[in-house]
Amino acid sequence: MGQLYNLDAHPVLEEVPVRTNKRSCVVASEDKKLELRLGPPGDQDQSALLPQLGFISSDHESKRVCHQLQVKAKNEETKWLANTAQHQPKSSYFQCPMIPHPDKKACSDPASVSKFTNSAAAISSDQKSKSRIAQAPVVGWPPIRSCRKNLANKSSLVKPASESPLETLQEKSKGKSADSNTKDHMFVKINMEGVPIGRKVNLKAYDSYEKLSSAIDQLFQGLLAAQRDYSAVEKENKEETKAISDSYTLLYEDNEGDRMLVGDVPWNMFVSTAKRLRVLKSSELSTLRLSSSRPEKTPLDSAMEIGS
Amino acid sequence: MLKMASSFPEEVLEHVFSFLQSDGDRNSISMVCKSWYEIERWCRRRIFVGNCYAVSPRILIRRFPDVRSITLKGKPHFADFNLVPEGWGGYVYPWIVALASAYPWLEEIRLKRMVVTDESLELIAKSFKNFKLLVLSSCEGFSTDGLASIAANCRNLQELDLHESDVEDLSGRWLSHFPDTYTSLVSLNIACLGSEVSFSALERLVGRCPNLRSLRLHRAVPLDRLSNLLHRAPQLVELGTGAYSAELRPDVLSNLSSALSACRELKSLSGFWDVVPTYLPAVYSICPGLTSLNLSYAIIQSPDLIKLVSQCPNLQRLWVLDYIEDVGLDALAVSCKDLRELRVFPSDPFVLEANVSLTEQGLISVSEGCPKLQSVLYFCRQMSNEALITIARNQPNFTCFRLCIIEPRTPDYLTLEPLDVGFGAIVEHCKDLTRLSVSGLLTDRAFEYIGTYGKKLEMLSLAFAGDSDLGLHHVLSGCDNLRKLEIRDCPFGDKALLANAAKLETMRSLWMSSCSVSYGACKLLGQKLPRLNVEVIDERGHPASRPESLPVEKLYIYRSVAGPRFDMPNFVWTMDENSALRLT
Repeated sequence: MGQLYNLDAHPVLEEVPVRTNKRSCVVASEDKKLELRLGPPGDQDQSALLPQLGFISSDHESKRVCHQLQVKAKNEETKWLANTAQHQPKSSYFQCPMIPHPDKKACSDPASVSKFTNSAAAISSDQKSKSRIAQAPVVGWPPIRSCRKNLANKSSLVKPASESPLETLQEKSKGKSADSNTKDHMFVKINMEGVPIGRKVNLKAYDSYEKLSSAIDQLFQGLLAAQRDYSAVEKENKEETKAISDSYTLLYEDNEGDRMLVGDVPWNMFVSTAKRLRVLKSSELSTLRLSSSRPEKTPLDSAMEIGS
Repeated sequence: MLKMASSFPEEVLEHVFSFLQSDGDRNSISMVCKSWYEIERWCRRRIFVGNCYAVSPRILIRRFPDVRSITLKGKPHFADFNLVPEGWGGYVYPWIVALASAYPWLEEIRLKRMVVTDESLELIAKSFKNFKLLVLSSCEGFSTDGLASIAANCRNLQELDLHESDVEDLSGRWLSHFPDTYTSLVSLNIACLGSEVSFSALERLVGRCPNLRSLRLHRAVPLDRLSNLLHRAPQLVELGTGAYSAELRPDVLSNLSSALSACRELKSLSGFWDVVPTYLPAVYSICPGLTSLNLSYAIIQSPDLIKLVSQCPNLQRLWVLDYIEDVGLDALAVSCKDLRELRVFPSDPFVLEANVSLTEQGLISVSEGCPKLQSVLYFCRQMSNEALITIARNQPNFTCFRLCIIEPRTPDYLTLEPLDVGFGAIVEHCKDLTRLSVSGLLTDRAFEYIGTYGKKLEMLSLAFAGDSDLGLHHVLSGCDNLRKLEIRDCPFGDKALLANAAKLETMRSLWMSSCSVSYGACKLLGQKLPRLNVEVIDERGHPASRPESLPVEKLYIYRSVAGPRFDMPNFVWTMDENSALRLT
């Protein structure tokens, strides 16, 4: 048994259906009253079985049915376990390690399966652009708590003091910006100052700065209003919208990692170079501090005075 | 028959029992005989309820009439990752109402993943005259108004810990509600809050509480304010900084350094939001005394991290981002021989390609260099069977091993095989393993290993793994001590679950989401096992509106003596004897 994980021996079935069977038979004899067994796949029509048990009201009846099941299932369980062990698909997942097996009922929700398959297919088919593209979001994966998620916001702004793969990655992403033109969506993260939860916008869904700006207003209005005053959510009107765009400034981070003011370059150039967006209160621009020790100035630094 | 029970004075037995603190021991002695049961239940003071729906307040109060400390846990663990829809449950208010009338001398309340309202907090504040400790871990539903009630009314409060709770932060004024006469604070953790508090109120509070041992500030407290606070509390044992940045002025660093070095008892550091590396040297003087360091919010690159950990030879616990990289973990393995717990969090988890050079090598180094390492949480992007086998052989003392390979179903990057044998090595070598989380490409074989060797496993987390019901069957039939099993996106259906139905009564809970358990099987389980609550969670509408053979979205099964609950939202249904007859 200790050699099970020995890499030298090719891990084909040295397995022990016997051992597993023994254990389950022990379980069977131990607790017949509560043990429920259904037959192995294909040997029993399970859908016919369930209605039989569904409406049983008397104890005696249920015991009898349970016992019947147990007798039948006990004989077949050993067969089932042995069969399943032998029929384990050994090599199907080797071919496409990242695309979920279509036969598997891995995701009960068909929508989430297709989402995953699409993203996996897109990713494996275009290996080059894999570098800085986020995967299609799977709820709750990777398993990190919300309070740890926003760190990525700052991480890309900081360049390491020493040589590291981070710099080579940024160089790769410069060359990759051309690839983004061939796709029909370009989701970038957008964070608003004071709002802990970020959103994502599809830059390719808009064709001008004005449309992007109003879309961003829409995105954050709800969150902002909820933070300010719960009752005000229902009273939102167009005047609120204008107030937001007047008092906030839109920045973006380009493919070189620099923070830039939105609006200087032609729209198409902006879409191809923008990696992340950020919304700051206009009043806060004057007290902007860089959290890294990079000496280079952004246009904002030269335009605004730093410090109170 | 000896008449020992009646001749032995109760007071003596009570005194003897007072030396037994663990619930397990207390449960054991209460089963010796009826009189011991009676004596024990009158003198049990600490209660732990691992699932707030497993027992009702009424049942608890009936058995234990004089409780001073209670711990309640609500939502399943996967709620931390947004897998439990909002409104699912875990409301503490009914408990507080019952506790308020039954235990006027209650001193401690610890809650985890529960919905706590301001109303609940107000009731706590007004009901328990000797209230000393409130820990709200990963809770939600309350605002700073509720905190104001606690601050204003709990005159004997010693500990207030909001550990990672989701608080509606209306303002920082609540802190000023501690009266000037209040001096008993021992521990304060407000790290999860956002709003600025009055710094002068905070300084006065810290200054007048001589027993303050633990202070964890929030991000809104800038570094230049920290020195003042530390001057008033040099006796601190645990410190959580606020934002670790300030405008670059010459005196900030020197003030901070001298304030920190005056804290000779300091053993634990955390916080470190928005780190400006220039200020890191301020902590160097206390590094030698540190046993716990939480840098999991700190954007610090590996050279600075190495400088830091190299000066902490007594470090037992380190939480850090993957900026530490393999080189940093190598340095950790050399410097911190007393390390017991390591957690490496991902800095950029939603990007496929690695942004840092952190691989399986880092974990190998620590497993080799740190002989006392017992608990690991490690996020990385690549792993191999060879590495896992090496790790298992290096460190058979793991009690908690949680590995998260960021991309689901990632195979061994060297051989492209599943990681079955690697995890098999972990469970085989680490005989005391009680908690395991697996990831990467795994077949049913991995679960066979887990079932065969994971005899002491109590908590197991599975995601995107396995081929068939056989996998789940191995786990349920093999892991004798399994208490909590949580599964997402695995191809497990009805067969294994129904075949091992009795096992579920020996466990605290089972969570399965995006698997293949049919509504029919859920109904069957609920009908046949009345001591289980089988809850189907499905936001698509009542599962009876779809064919019975279709899988449910989410399933949460837990044992309970309280019967089905009645505070469920409209997307949760309990399967029981009546579910077949109940109208939708």
